[in-house]
Amino acid sequence: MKIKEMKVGTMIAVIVLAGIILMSVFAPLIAPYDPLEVNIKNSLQQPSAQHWLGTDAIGRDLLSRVIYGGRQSIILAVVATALSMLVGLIIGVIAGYFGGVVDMVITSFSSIFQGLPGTSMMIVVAGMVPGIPGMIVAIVITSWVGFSRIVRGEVMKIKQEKFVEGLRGLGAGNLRIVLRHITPNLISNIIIIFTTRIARVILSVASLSFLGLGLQPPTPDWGVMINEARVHFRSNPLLIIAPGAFIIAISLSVNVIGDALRDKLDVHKDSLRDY
Amino acid sequence: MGIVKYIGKRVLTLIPVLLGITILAFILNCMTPGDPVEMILTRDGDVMPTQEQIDIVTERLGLNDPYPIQYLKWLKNSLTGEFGQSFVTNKSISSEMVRRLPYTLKIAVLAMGFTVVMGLGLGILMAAFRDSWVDRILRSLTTIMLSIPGFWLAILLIFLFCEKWQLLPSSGYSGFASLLLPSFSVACSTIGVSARLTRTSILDELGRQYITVAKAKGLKNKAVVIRHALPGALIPIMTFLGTYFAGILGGSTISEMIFGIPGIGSYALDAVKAKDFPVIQAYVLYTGLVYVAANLLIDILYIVVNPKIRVGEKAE
Repeated sequence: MKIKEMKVGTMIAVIVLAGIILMSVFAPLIAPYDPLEVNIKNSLQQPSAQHWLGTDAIGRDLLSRVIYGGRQSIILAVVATALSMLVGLIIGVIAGYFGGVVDMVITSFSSIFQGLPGTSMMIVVAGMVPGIPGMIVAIVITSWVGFSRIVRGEVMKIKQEKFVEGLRGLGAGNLRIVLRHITPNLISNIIIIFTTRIARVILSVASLSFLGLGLQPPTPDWGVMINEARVHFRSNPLLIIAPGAFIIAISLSVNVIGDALRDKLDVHKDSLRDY
Repeated sequence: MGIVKYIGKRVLTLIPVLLGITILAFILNCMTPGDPVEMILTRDGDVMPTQEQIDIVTERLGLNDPYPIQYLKWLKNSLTGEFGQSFVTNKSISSEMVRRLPYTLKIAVLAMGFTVVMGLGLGILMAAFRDSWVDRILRSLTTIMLSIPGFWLAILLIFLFCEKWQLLPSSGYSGFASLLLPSFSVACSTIGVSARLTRTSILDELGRQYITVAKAKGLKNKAVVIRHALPGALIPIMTFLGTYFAGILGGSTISEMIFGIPGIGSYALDAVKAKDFPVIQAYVLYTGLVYVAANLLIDILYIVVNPKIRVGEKAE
């Protein structure tokens, strides 16, 4: 996308997203304090010249914690989204390309997963399988299905096209056709779905950490911070507002960019209207 | 006749889904690290249980049987509504579930109501005033709505409505008013999603030929949107209702916890924290059933609205 063609809103979203990513990468250089440094004497300070956003219940600098707050959850969201798309891609391509019995088995298996209420299952799985792997597993097993269905449909369409027939005529094997010729045709779909999905997964990661089922205290993480601040935010509302604002900023900017990409790549397919 | 047959078929396809839910609920239990027997025996104090005690409890819970037998026994009990007792409170799980389910259902139904009414309303407004400043503002608003984490909104709403302005009760259940904030904080993102979908569906419909005819007849823009485009646009919107319901059920868990509503969601969260396996299994089954039932209802509504389906084709 050329910069000139971008709408103002999209441009702001790109700047905000880039800003948050840079802030997370360079957090150790930017943050004025150690985000883990406890100072009980300094607890629940109002914003001041020393602590621009004030301090939390055990005297940690809020600004520093907010600056560090996206580091792990953003990476986790990217990993979880990528993994669930990889699982969905593999399963969807297999179902779509081979069709027949394979497709039938996969489709009925998927429909079971689709019949489950995703968010509830995600909370339960994240609660039962401990730690960060548990959170990733929970997100992956509750979000691969939608994607595999879209991929399956697209692969079935591409399979009908003349060039695939031609390739087979030239003696290309199944694996080669799938990897070299069908998957690359899915790239624009994948990009769009990735952006819409990751906005949602960022919120899921934050929710799970908020519930105590994802990242754990004392990690400086936006979701964890909001949970920790539930008791004390009345004396310094920024304790809730600051991390919340960053979660909203990142998911909003990703959503806006996703919309722009969808318009740009002119996707009219219903399947991709993954609202 | 066609409708009955279609619904019958739908119900049949639900059987594997229901079985899948029970298997998942069961597997979750087996997958989980930690020995439930030891957990029960060590819960009360720090005394190490004797081997004899462990054997007795293991036998009582039927944990010596191979997994498939355990599953069948558990399934048989679950089908009769017997989920056993909570590891933590020793209370009957099914009576607790039955007591709590109505709260969760009320929140879910009210949130669905918000989603449909406000989603459609905002979507219609945007479509009717497309590309004007109304449309632009509402489009930004709906995009913001779907980017707000529900738990954050919930805390903010408590702070504003319950503490600052003291308009609504903040915690626990004391009638309809205490459901408003939990439902809205759950519904916020789905309202945004459904409003955006309504807008695009109506605009798609407006591109169709019969709309051009209606316009040629001299009908006003707003009349065209509401009288002609909306009914056609309702169909794609309805297909998404099931997805919204899944989000609402899950979100309700967090909302119940924050607002102190004694529904099955907050029960499950407590159980997850305490590793109270039988309660979690029962929760998976209950939410699974509620979700399946809700989807069936939406499906039936869908074919009543859209007679094309009766011919046999179902738009996924």
